[in-house]
Amino acid sequence: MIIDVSNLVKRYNDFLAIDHMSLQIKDGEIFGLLGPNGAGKTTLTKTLLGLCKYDSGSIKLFGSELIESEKKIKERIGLVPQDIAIYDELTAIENVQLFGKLYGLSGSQLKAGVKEALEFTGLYKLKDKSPSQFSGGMKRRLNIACAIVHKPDLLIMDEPTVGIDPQSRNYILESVNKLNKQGCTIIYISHYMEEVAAICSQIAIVDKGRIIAQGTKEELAKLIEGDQVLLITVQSVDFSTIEKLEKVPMVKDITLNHNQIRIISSDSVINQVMNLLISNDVQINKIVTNSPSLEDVFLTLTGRALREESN
Amino acid sequence: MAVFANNLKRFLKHKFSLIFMIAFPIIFIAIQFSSSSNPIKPDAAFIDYDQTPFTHSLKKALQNKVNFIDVNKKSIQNKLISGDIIYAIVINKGMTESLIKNQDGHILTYHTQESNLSSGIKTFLKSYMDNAQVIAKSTEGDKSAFYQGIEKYQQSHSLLSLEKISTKGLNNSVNSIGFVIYGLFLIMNITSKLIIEDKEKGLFTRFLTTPMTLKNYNFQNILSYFLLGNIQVILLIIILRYSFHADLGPSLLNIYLVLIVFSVVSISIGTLISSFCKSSKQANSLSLLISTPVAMLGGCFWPIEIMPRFLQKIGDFLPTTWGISAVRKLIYGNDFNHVILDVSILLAFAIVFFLLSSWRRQDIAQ
Ligand SMILES: Nc1ncnc2c1ncn2[C@@H]1O[C@H](COP(=O)(O)OP(=O)(O)OP(=O)(O)O)[C@@H](O)[C@H]1O
Ligand SMILES: [Mg+2]
Repeated sequence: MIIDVSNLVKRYNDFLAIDHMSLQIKDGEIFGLLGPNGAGKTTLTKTLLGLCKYDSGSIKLFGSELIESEKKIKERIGLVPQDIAIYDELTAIENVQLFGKLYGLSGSQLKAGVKEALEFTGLYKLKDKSPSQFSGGMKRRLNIACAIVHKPDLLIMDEPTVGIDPQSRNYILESVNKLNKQGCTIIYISHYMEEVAAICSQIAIVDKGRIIAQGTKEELAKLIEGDQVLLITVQSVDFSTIEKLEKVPMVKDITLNHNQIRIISSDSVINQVMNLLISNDVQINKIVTNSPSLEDVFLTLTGRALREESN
Repeated sequence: MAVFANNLKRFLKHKFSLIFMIAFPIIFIAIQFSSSSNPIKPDAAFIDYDQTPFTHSLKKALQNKVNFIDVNKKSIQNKLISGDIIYAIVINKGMTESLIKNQDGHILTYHTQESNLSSGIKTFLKSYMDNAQVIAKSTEGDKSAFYQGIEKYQQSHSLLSLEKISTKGLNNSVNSIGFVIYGLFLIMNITSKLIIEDKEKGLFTRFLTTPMTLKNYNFQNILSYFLLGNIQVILLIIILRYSFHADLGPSLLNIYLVLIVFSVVSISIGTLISSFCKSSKQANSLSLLISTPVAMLGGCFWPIEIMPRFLQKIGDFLPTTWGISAVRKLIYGNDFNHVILDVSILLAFAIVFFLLSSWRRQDIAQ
């Protein structure tokens, strides 16, 4: 077990950011942590790395507590922070070198590690440029290069693809797979369901500081097996109608996004829903039925969308 | 030493701050040296129990070079040791009388360190008294003839040896010190900015996820600022001494030691600023906002003596005052023992500021 968290509690003053969380991550996994804004994902990584104190519970990394051998443990971990943390005053290669040195590399080992990290993230040609001239995606990639220069056994990636184009995103996802094949265990934090579904061998869904579901993609999908998704586009609808819809038997979850009503139910509810909408004078433009996706798993479990649709 | 080496690289990227730290004092020093300022007069004591026209005229002659302050005889030694006065002259009752009658008059002088000025005064006093004795001999006890002789002597060539004592180099260097101290103060600008930048950009937190400890990070940071401070101090001393030919007293090493301690105080204020500010912009303006008035009140730009009494009192609580006071004493020729009090106060400032900033940082981390 590379990570063994049990009953972890972390408060910010009165706010419960991590609520009795237990989590095991096995060697060689790509472990996806999925959750909406404010779920406590970043807080979890901070407590894992000893950046902030926790109130109770225990954390074991590589079989021992952080304080037992902090230096040795930290040498084996790489963190890709959610907010890009690199020096604009330094060139790309100088940034990677700096972190290589901080992780204890020197001489030919450092040189090789730096080259590899830059090549791995596709930045080798740009190594002498300052990150201030980089695009957002290139900065993200440099942010990753700084975390893998020392070839960590565990790489924690906190939303490494936020705000970058699909091409760069695919590049990063492929890299994550490649790193994993080289023997690196990865914790991949995201609120993009597609990403997590594409690369993760284990997925945990986090909400309000708790893990509310965990398993492989397939196992999670089973949670709502047989459920149906109904997407109805309407002219306009008021909340009293939505409230009435919620009371329809077998409806598990309703979300309203602009003029689209999304209904997840454990059995077909088309007839009841139609009748109700018509009797409330709602003008219906379009109806689609779907089998549920991972995204819908999330919706049913948390009652919330993973991210604001405008994102 | 990755953070240390990295900081050195980053210093070079803050060219504006660096230029400010070196060029600013030099420009003011150059202006200082090119304009002929009012001569600076170090303080001295003249204790006259005799109170005769002869002693009065002696005092008047000396007042061209030194400023006599009220000192009682008992505290002469303390004042000399603390560097408050550079010279003390004591004239006993009946000295003039015995000079005129018996051609035997001498005055007591006290000074600690040999400086341009004190040895000049010594030479002057010796020849003045020698001549007075010659005049007394030739006038054979005739008081009015004696005074006529003295007056004639004074008119002819007596004050020559006093005029020859050059205090221009001394003036200039004493006045320049304020600008040097102000320049050293400006290091707080770059230190506070760099520390904040690390926090602002999440690099500080990221560093702590690596095997490097917080202590090590702080140590390497301070060490890099200390090196920068050293470069600044040495550069300024070299420029002052060898391009401006300033009179920096008998020991450049002592000057260096005092200035480097002051530089550490500036660094400690920089870290304190960084622990209070949220952005590097804020730190930048706060450091400029602090350094300029503190420099003014501490006497960096004009002598502290010309300020109102209550402002001078405020000055006692500012490191600039103590820095300037220490360097001044050294320039006047005092040795390091005389500035130990000032240096200790400076070190106390540094310790308090470092403690405050680390206490404040822990507070934030909670
Ligand atoms: N330093 C702090 N002080 C007080 N509350 C905090 C602090 N840091 C985070 N929180 C709160 O803890 C909760 C969890 O935050 P966290 O950053 O872990 O969320 P997250 O899952 O990483 O979200 P996102 O997807 O937006 O990155 C949030 O409600 C946040 O407001
Ligand atoms: Mg986060």
